[in-house]
Amino acid sequence: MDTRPWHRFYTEGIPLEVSQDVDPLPVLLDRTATRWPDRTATVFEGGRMSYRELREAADRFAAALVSLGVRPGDRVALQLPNLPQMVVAYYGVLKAGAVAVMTNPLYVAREIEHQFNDSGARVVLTLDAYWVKTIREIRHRLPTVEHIVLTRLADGLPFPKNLLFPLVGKKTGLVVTVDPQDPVLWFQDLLRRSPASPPRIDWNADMLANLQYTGGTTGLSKGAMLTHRNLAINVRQVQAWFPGFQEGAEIVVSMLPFFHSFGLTVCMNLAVASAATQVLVPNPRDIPKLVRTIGKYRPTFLPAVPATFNAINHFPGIEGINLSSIKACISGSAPLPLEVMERFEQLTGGKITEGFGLSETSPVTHANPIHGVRKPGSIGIPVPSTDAKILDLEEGKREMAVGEDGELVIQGPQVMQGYWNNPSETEGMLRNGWLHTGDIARMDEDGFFYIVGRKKDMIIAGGYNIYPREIDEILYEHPKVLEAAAVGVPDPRRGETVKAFVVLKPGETATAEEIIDYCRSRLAAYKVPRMVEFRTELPKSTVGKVLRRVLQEEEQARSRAG
Amino acid sequence: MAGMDDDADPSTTARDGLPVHLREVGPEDGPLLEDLFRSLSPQSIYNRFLAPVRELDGTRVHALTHMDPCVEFAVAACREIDGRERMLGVGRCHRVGAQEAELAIVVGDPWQRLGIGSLLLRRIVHRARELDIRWFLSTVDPNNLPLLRFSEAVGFRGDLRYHSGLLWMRTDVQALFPPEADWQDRTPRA
Repeated sequence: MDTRPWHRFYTEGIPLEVSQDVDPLPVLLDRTATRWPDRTATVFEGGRMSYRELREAADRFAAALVSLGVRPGDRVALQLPNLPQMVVAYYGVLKAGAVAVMTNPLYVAREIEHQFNDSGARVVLTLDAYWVKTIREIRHRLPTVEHIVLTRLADGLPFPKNLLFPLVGKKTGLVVTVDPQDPVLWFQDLLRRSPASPPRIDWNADMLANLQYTGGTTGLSKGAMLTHRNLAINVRQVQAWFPGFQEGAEIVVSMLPFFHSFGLTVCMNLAVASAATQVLVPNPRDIPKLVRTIGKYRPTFLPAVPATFNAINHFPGIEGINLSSIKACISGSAPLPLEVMERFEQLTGGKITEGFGLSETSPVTHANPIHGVRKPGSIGIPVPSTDAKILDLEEGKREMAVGEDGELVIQGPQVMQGYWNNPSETEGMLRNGWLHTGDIARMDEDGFFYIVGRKKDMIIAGGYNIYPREIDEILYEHPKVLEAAAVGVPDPRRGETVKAFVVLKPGETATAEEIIDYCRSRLAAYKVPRMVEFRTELPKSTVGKVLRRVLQEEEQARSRAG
Repeated sequence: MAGMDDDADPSTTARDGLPVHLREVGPEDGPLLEDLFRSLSPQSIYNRFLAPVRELDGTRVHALTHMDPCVEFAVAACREIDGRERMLGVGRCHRVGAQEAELAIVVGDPWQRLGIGSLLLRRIVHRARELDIRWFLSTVDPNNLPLLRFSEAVGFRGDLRYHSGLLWMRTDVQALFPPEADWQDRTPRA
């Protein structure tokens, strides 16, 4: 059997392999800043930062971290939306030789506490609003964190928006007052007082760059260890996939969150490595503003999730807006419906390629060729220097024939080193040099892969992986709940959404809102059940094991019945 | 390997050298069962019930101690500790077809890796063969690697399939505990 049948579908200009000789990520920024010092690196609300300014600010933040005691290998948590400060801070952390712990701003106290403590973060950079609303109350439960550094959203805005933001930004909930006595440092102060001289690091591309936290089947998220090599090579693999991508000429809309590996690589790191301009969009759900941004800045590259492409397609008056600057898009996190792809391509003249990846693979492993054969419903073919195959589901040892279902396993230079402080999870995922994805897939005779199911008990809602067990754990903590089970139910907008089945303790009463509110205070918004159904008992096997499958099947039948 | 007669012997020894008494679970075992539940870590509870159960409510305790002898039996591994009987683990077998039965075993966390699970399974296999049960069915969290390794070590032969994030195992009872198996060194967690 041809082990890499997909190679014949690589279109002109796409190499079969990419060079494994890569520089650490900060070197990519330095190189771009040297070649393209005046090119705009980021645009945010009309304010621009050049690559010269970005490098200087990152150098200052690196020096500041060193002055705070950060040493190579230490963890620094970054919990910010897509703001200019995030780009500066990420490269600053790496320039200090430290490891960035990318943290979802939507996380609630319980999730933040786990992530900061599990990673052993010594420094945390976050928004002042997150400090006031969440982190301050759990500060005493973060023993490894020595310094909290705050930035205001307004710090990333140009004059005079930065001065006006406290007045006009009240409805965003991001205008807060930090008590002057709070034990925090300020990002802007650190940049002002630190020299633009990062420490001299004995660089090695195999140094750890990121802990990329991803949901865990046990209910606790775990940190995928990604090295500079993993991330830099994945950027190179994505660059190779778009041979028309020109250094110093592209404009990228960075709406995918940087704390997620998709946004990290395909927006931020790809842009920096390619001297592209990033138009930062912290809230891609504001479709009117997103459309205005596209019309104003004329981007050439638009990485997004299917829901965003669909929303743009249906934006009133979209036909009258000139979207012709868009050359290429990459869609991930959920299947891209064919009609969404065709409509968007018709509107823009650009091409969308559907890709696939995991946090554990930096993340891109597969994509459909942008100008060649694209197969609807397929996640595409492995990107250069990447191998993939389908193994039997039971033991994961026997390679399946073309067209047969099995577990998708992946090998390549973008595959993580393991999970941080979690050898048992690592052992389950990395076996004999292959990453076992937990996705059930098949490969056709051309080497195109199709995801057909999941080995893991997982819900994918709005592009986020959600493990039902994590929700179950919260539901069982509710004082009125005897039993509960969360399941994924079909949702036209989010792909799936979370529904909770709840059995109350004898004599207790509760409303769905009460259960949802309880979850909302303990789970990031995307994990919170949208629906609650009360039952007198949950389906169980004869020996008392809870059968979530039965609930799922009931929901699927209900969905089919309309 | 011990013979069938040994399997039927109610008094045996765990790997820590201390005695273990194997006996049927009965209606009076509610308090011991609740005690065993309190010795389980959250992970062990999840592996047993596939849910993060916080307490054994009365209904569940009743169901686990009042078996219908026509279709089910449960074996407890007990030991006297500090002058009172403690339940270290329990194995349960519930017939779901002419020759099929669902199987579940749980061992309290303080007594895992002492071979208690193996002792329970051997006793259950012995009874199952007497009752002409040919297949054990079990639903397992795929992350329960210790159990999967144990299954392999005691001679698992049968069908495995994934469904909704769980592993569904159908085990040939006759194939368990082959003479060459190094099963005594392994202990299941569910």
